[in-house]
Amino acid sequence: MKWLRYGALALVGLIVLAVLVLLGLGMRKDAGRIAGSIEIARPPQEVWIWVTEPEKLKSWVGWLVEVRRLTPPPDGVGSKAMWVMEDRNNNNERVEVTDEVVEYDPPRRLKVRLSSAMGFDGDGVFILTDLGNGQTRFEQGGEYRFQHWLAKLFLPLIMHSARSKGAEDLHRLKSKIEESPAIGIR
Amino acid sequence: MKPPLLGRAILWLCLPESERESIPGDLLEEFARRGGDARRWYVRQAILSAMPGLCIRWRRGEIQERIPLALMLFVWPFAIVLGGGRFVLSQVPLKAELLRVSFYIPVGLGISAFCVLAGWLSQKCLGGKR
Repeated sequence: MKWLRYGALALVGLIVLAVLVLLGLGMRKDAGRIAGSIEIARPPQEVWIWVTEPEKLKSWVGWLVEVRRLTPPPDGVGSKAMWVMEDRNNNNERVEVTDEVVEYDPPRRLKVRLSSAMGFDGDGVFILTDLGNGQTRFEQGGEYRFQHWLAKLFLPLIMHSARSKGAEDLHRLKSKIEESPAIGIR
Repeated sequence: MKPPLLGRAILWLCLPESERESIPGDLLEEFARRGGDARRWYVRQAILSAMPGLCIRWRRGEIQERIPLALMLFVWPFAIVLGGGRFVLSQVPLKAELLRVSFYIPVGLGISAFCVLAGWLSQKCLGGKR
Protein backbone atom coordinates (compact mmCIF):
# COMPACT_ATOMS: atom_id res chain seq x y z
CA MET A 1 0.00 0.00 0.00
CA LYS A 2 2.92 2.29 0.70
CA TRP A 3 3.99 2.31 -2.94
CA LEU A 4 0.72 4.04 -3.83
CA ARG A 5 1.52 6.80 -1.37
CA TYR A 6 5.01 7.13 -2.80
CA GLY A 7 3.55 7.12 -6.32
CA ALA A 8 1.13 9.90 -5.37
CA LEU A 9 4.04 11.84 -3.90
CA ALA A 10 5.96 11.37 -7.16
CA LEU A 11 2.96 12.80 -9.05
CA VAL A 12 2.85 15.83 -6.74
CA GLY A 13 6.63 16.23 -7.18
CA LEU A 14 6.27 16.05 -10.95
CA ILE A 15 3.58 18.75 -10.89
CA VAL A 16 5.72 21.01 -8.68
CA LEU A 17 8.71 20.50 -11.01
CA ALA A 18 6.57 21.29 -14.07
CA VAL A 19 5.26 24.47 -12.41
CA LEU A 20 8.81 25.60 -11.57
CA VAL A 21 10.01 24.95 -15.12
CA LEU A 22 7.01 26.82 -16.56
CA LEU A 23 7.58 29.76 -14.20
CA GLY A 24 11.25 29.89 -15.22
CA LEU A 25 10.49 29.73 -18.95
CA GLY A 26 7.66 32.26 -18.56
CA MET A 27 10.06 34.84 -17.11
CA ARG A 28 12.15 35.04 -20.28
CA LYS A 29 11.94 38.40 -22.06
CA ASP A 30 10.57 36.94 -25.28
CA ALA A 31 8.20 34.49 -23.60
CA GLY A 32 5.08 36.19 -24.97
CA ARG A 33 6.44 36.88 -28.44
CA ILE A 34 6.12 35.05 -31.71
CA ALA A 35 8.04 35.73 -34.88
CA GLY A 36 8.37 34.06 -38.23
CA SER A 37 9.24 34.88 -41.80
CA ILE A 38 9.01 33.37 -45.24
CA GLU A 39 10.00 34.35 -48.75
CA ILE A 40 7.21 34.51 -51.29
CA ALA A 41 7.67 34.60 -55.06
CA ARG A 42 5.35 37.56 -55.57
CA PRO A 43 5.86 41.33 -55.24
CA PRO A 44 4.86 43.07 -51.97
CA GLN A 45 1.84 44.79 -53.58
CA GLU A 46 0.36 41.40 -54.36
CA VAL A 47 1.16 39.90 -50.95
CA TRP A 48 -0.40 42.96 -49.24
CA ILE A 49 -3.83 42.03 -50.62
CA TRP A 50 -3.61 38.66 -48.85
CA VAL A 51 -3.01 40.41 -45.54
CA THR A 52 -5.81 42.95 -45.78
CA GLU A 53 -8.70 41.38 -47.73
CA PRO A 54 -11.02 39.35 -45.48
CA GLU A 55 -11.68 36.57 -47.99
CA LYS A 56 -7.96 36.12 -48.68
CA LEU A 57 -7.15 36.18 -44.95
CA LYS A 58 -9.63 33.36 -44.35
CA SER A 59 -7.85 31.21 -46.90
CA TRP A 60 -4.50 31.13 -45.07
CA VAL A 61 -5.11 31.95 -41.39
CA GLY A 62 -6.05 28.57 -39.95
CA TRP A 63 -9.46 28.29 -38.22
CA LEU A 64 -10.41 31.86 -39.23
CA VAL A 65 -14.01 31.52 -40.40
CA GLU A 66 -15.23 35.09 -40.63
CA VAL A 67 -13.83 38.61 -40.75
CA ARG A 68 -16.42 41.30 -39.93
CA ARG A 69 -15.49 44.88 -40.70
CA LEU A 70 -16.52 47.10 -37.80
CA THR A 71 -15.57 50.34 -39.59
CA PRO A 72 -16.31 51.25 -43.23
CA PRO A 73 -13.55 51.08 -45.87
CA PRO A 74 -11.01 52.36 -46.82
CA ASP A 75 -8.64 50.68 -44.39
CA GLY A 76 -6.24 52.83 -42.41
CA VAL A 77 -5.13 53.63 -38.89
CA GLY A 78 -8.14 53.21 -36.59
CA SER A 79 -9.93 50.64 -38.80
CA LYS A 80 -11.47 47.86 -36.77
CA ALA A 81 -12.50 44.32 -37.61
CA MET A 82 -13.71 41.28 -35.77
CA TRP A 83 -11.98 37.97 -36.47
CA VAL A 84 -14.16 34.96 -35.72
CA MET A 85 -12.01 31.89 -35.05
CA GLU A 86 -13.25 28.32 -34.69
CA ASP A 87 -11.52 26.39 -31.93
CA ARG A 88 -11.32 22.79 -33.19
CA ASN A 89 -9.71 21.73 -29.91
CA ASN A 90 -12.70 22.89 -27.88
CA ASN A 91 -15.80 21.54 -29.62
CA ASN A 92 -15.60 24.07 -32.47
CA GLU A 93 -16.31 26.90 -30.06
CA ARG A 94 -16.37 30.28 -31.81
CA VAL A 95 -13.98 32.88 -30.44
CA GLU A 96 -14.10 36.54 -31.39
CA VAL A 97 -10.89 38.56 -31.63
CA THR A 98 -11.08 42.31 -32.24
CA ASP A 99 -8.30 43.94 -34.19
CA GLU A 100 -7.62 47.64 -34.58
CA VAL A 101 -5.10 48.93 -37.08
CA VAL A 102 -2.44 51.05 -35.35
CA GLU A 103 0.11 51.30 -38.18
CA TYR A 104 -0.81 51.20 -41.85
CA ASP A 105 1.88 51.64 -44.48
CA PRO A 106 0.93 49.74 -47.66
CA PRO A 107 2.57 47.62 -48.97
CA ARG A 108 5.24 47.51 -46.28
CA ARG A 109 3.90 47.37 -42.76
CA LEU A 110 0.67 46.64 -40.95
CA LYS A 111 0.38 46.62 -37.18
CA VAL A 112 -2.81 45.67 -35.36
CA ARG A 113 -3.84 45.63 -31.73
CA LEU A 114 -5.67 42.45 -30.84
CA SER A 115 -7.98 41.84 -27.91
CA SER A 116 -10.40 39.13 -26.97
CA ALA A 117 -12.99 38.48 -24.30
CA MET A 118 -11.28 35.11 -23.74
CA GLY A 119 -8.64 36.99 -21.78
CA PHE A 120 -5.74 38.24 -23.85
CA ASP A 121 -4.57 41.32 -25.65
CA GLY A 122 -1.57 41.92 -27.81
CA ASP A 123 -0.05 43.28 -30.97
CA GLY A 124 0.40 41.64 -34.32
CA VAL A 125 2.65 42.97 -37.03
CA PHE A 126 3.17 42.08 -40.69
CA ILE A 127 6.28 43.43 -42.44
CA LEU A 128 6.76 43.04 -46.18
CA THR A 129 10.23 43.60 -47.63
CA ASP A 130 10.77 43.87 -51.37
CA LEU A 131 13.63 41.53 -52.31
CA GLY A 132 13.50 42.46 -56.00
CA ASN A 133 12.71 40.13 -58.93
CA GLY A 134 9.11 39.84 -57.76
CA GLN A 135 10.12 38.35 -54.38
CA THR A 136 8.92 39.43 -50.94
CA ARG A 137 10.11 38.57 -47.47
CA PHE A 138 7.00 38.32 -45.32
CA GLU A 139 7.59 38.67 -41.59
CA GLN A 140 4.93 38.00 -39.01
CA GLY A 141 5.36 38.93 -35.37
CA GLY A 142 3.28 39.34 -32.28
CA GLU A 143 3.35 39.90 -28.57
CA TYR A 144 0.57 38.74 -26.30
CA ARG A 145 -0.42 39.32 -22.70
CA PHE A 146 -2.82 37.13 -20.78
CA GLN A 147 -5.08 37.99 -17.87
CA HIS A 148 -5.90 34.56 -16.46
CA TRP A 149 -3.33 33.41 -13.87
CA LEU A 150 -3.30 29.90 -15.30
CA ALA A 151 -2.69 31.26 -18.79
CA LYS A 152 0.24 33.27 -17.39
CA LEU A 153 1.64 30.07 -15.90
CA PHE A 154 1.15 28.12 -19.12
CA LEU A 155 2.53 30.98 -21.24
CA PRO A 156 5.51 28.98 -22.62
CA LEU A 157 3.22 26.17 -23.79
CA ILE A 158 0.61 28.55 -25.20
CA MET A 159 3.22 30.49 -27.15
CA HIS A 160 4.83 27.27 -28.37
CA SER A 161 1.48 26.28 -29.88
CA ALA A 162 1.01 29.80 -31.25
CA ARG A 163 4.44 29.67 -32.93
CA SER A 164 3.70 26.30 -34.53
CA LYS A 165 0.36 27.58 -35.76
CA GLY A 166 1.98 30.80 -37.05
CA ALA A 167 4.59 28.80 -38.99
CA GLU A 168 1.89 26.63 -40.57
CA ASP A 169 -0.09 29.74 -41.51
CA LEU A 170 2.97 31.24 -43.21
CA HIS A 171 3.55 28.12 -45.28
CA ARG A 172 -0.14 28.07 -46.21
CA LEU A 173 0.09 31.74 -47.24
CA LYS A 174 3.13 31.08 -49.42
CA SER A 175 1.54 28.13 -51.20
CA LYS A 176 -1.81 29.93 -51.67
CA ILE A 177 -0.18 33.03 -53.16
CA GLU A 178 2.24 31.14 -55.36
CA GLU A 179 -0.50 28.79 -56.61
CA SER A 180 -2.74 31.71 -57.58
CA PRO A 181 -2.10 33.42 -60.93
CA ALA A 182 0.10 36.53 -60.74
CA ILE A 183 -2.02 39.63 -61.09
CA GLY A 184 0.85 41.84 -62.21
CA ILE A 185 0.65 44.62 -59.61
CA ARG A 186 3.88 46.61 -59.53
CA MET B 1 23.20 -8.44 -15.59
CA LYS B 2 19.94 -7.49 -13.86
CA PRO B 3 16.53 -8.07 -15.44
CA PRO B 4 14.86 -4.93 -16.82
CA LEU B 5 13.31 -2.56 -14.28
CA LEU B 6 9.98 -2.49 -16.13
CA GLY B 7 9.63 -6.27 -15.99
CA ARG B 8 10.51 -6.42 -12.30
CA ALA B 9 8.04 -3.62 -11.51
CA ILE B 10 5.23 -5.40 -13.40
CA LEU B 11 5.90 -8.65 -11.53
CA TRP B 12 6.07 -6.92 -8.18
CA LEU B 13 2.82 -5.05 -8.77
CA CYS B 14 0.82 -7.94 -10.20
CA LEU B 15 1.98 -11.11 -8.44
CA PRO B 16 0.40 -12.25 -5.17
CA GLU B 17 2.61 -11.55 -2.18
CA SER B 18 3.27 -15.27 -1.68
CA GLU B 19 4.69 -15.59 -5.23
CA ARG B 20 6.84 -12.48 -5.27
CA GLU B 21 10.02 -14.44 -4.71
CA SER B 22 9.45 -17.80 -6.40
CA ILE B 23 8.22 -16.68 -9.86
CA PRO B 24 10.76 -13.84 -10.32
CA GLY B 25 13.42 -16.30 -9.07
CA ASP B 26 12.52 -18.85 -11.78
CA LEU B 27 12.44 -16.11 -14.40
CA LEU B 28 15.80 -14.81 -13.21
CA GLU B 29 17.41 -18.24 -13.70
CA GLU B 30 16.09 -18.47 -17.25
CA PHE B 31 17.05 -14.82 -17.84
CA ALA B 32 20.66 -15.57 -16.85
CA ARG B 33 20.78 -18.57 -19.24
CA ARG B 34 19.44 -16.61 -22.22
CA GLY B 35 21.54 -14.63 -24.64
CA GLY B 36 20.81 -11.47 -26.62
CA ASP B 37 17.03 -11.38 -26.35
CA ALA B 38 16.96 -11.96 -22.57
CA ARG B 39 15.68 -8.49 -21.64
CA ARG B 40 12.82 -8.56 -24.13
CA TRP B 41 11.98 -12.11 -23.11
CA TYR B 42 11.86 -11.10 -19.42
CA VAL B 43 9.50 -8.17 -20.04
CA ARG B 44 7.27 -10.40 -22.22
CA GLN B 45 7.12 -13.04 -19.48
CA ALA B 46 6.34 -10.36 -16.89
CA ILE B 47 3.46 -9.03 -19.01
CA LEU B 48 2.15 -12.58 -19.58
CA SER B 49 2.26 -13.24 -15.83
CA ALA B 50 0.48 -10.02 -14.98
CA MET B 51 -3.13 -11.03 -15.67
CA PRO B 52 -3.01 -14.49 -13.98
CA GLY B 53 -1.22 -12.88 -11.03
CA LEU B 54 -3.87 -10.18 -10.72
CA CYS B 55 -6.65 -12.81 -10.96
CA ILE B 56 -5.11 -14.76 -8.05
CA ARG B 57 -4.75 -11.58 -6.03
CA TRP B 58 -8.38 -10.71 -6.77
CA ARG B 59 -9.60 -14.16 -5.66
CA ARG B 60 -7.59 -13.86 -2.45
CA GLY B 61 -9.03 -10.40 -1.83
CA GLU B 62 -5.60 -8.77 -1.90
CA ILE B 63 -6.36 -5.92 -4.27
CA GLN B 64 -10.02 -4.93 -3.93
CA GLU B 65 -9.38 -2.20 -1.38
CA ARG B 66 -6.49 -0.81 -3.42
CA ILE B 67 -8.41 -0.44 -6.68
CA PRO B 68 -9.75 3.09 -6.02
CA LEU B 69 -6.26 4.33 -5.09
CA ALA B 70 -4.63 2.62 -8.05
CA LEU B 71 -7.29 4.05 -10.37
CA MET B 72 -6.59 7.50 -8.95
CA LEU B 73 -2.96 7.06 -9.89
CA PHE B 74 -3.95 6.39 -13.49
CA VAL B 75 -6.93 8.72 -13.75
CA TRP B 76 -5.33 11.78 -12.19
CA PRO B 77 -2.32 12.09 -14.52
CA PHE B 78 -4.57 11.60 -17.54
CA ALA B 79 -7.09 14.17 -16.25
CA ILE B 80 -4.30 16.67 -15.51
CA VAL B 81 -2.71 16.24 -18.94
CA LEU B 82 -6.04 16.39 -20.78
CA GLY B 83 -7.35 19.36 -18.76
CA GLY B 84 -4.05 21.25 -18.99
CA GLY B 85 -3.70 20.53 -22.70
CA ARG B 86 -7.23 21.63 -23.49
CA PHE B 87 -6.76 24.82 -21.46
CA VAL B 88 -3.46 25.65 -23.19
CA LEU B 89 -4.99 25.16 -26.63
CA SER B 90 -8.05 27.23 -25.72
CA GLN B 91 -5.78 30.15 -24.83
CA VAL B 92 -3.73 30.24 -28.05
CA PRO B 93 -4.55 33.71 -29.45
CA LEU B 94 -5.23 32.75 -33.08
CA LYS B 95 -6.08 29.16 -32.17
CA ALA B 96 -3.90 26.11 -32.51
CA GLU B 97 -3.81 23.26 -34.96
CA LEU B 98 -6.02 20.32 -34.03
CA LEU B 99 -4.54 18.03 -31.38
CA ARG B 100 -6.32 14.70 -31.10
CA VAL B 101 -7.17 13.02 -27.78
CA SER B 102 -4.86 10.17 -28.83
CA PHE B 103 -1.95 12.56 -28.14
CA TYR B 104 -2.86 12.76 -24.45
CA ILE B 105 -3.17 9.00 -23.83
CA PRO B 106 0.55 8.09 -24.12
CA VAL B 107 1.53 11.22 -22.16
CA GLY B 108 -0.90 10.37 -19.34
CA LEU B 109 0.16 6.73 -19.37
CA GLY B 110 3.82 7.80 -19.33
CA ILE B 111 3.26 9.92 -16.23
CA SER B 112 1.32 7.09 -14.58
CA ALA B 113 4.13 4.65 -15.38
CA PHE B 114 6.65 7.09 -13.93
CA CYS B 115 4.60 7.42 -10.72
CA VAL B 116 4.18 3.64 -10.40
CA LEU B 117 7.89 3.09 -10.97
CA ALA B 118 8.79 5.86 -8.53
CA GLY B 119 6.41 4.36 -5.96
CA TRP B 120 7.82 0.89 -6.45
CA LEU B 121 11.45 2.05 -6.28
CA SER B 122 10.75 4.15 -3.18
CA GLN B 123 9.05 1.18 -1.55
CA LYS B 124 12.06 -0.98 -2.40
CA CYS B 125 14.64 1.53 -1.15
CA LEU B 126 12.87 3.14 1.81
CA GLY B 127 10.63 0.22 2.80
CA GLY B 128 13.61 -2.09 3.30
CA LYS B 129 15.40 0.34 5.60
CA ARG B 130 12.50 0.80 7.98
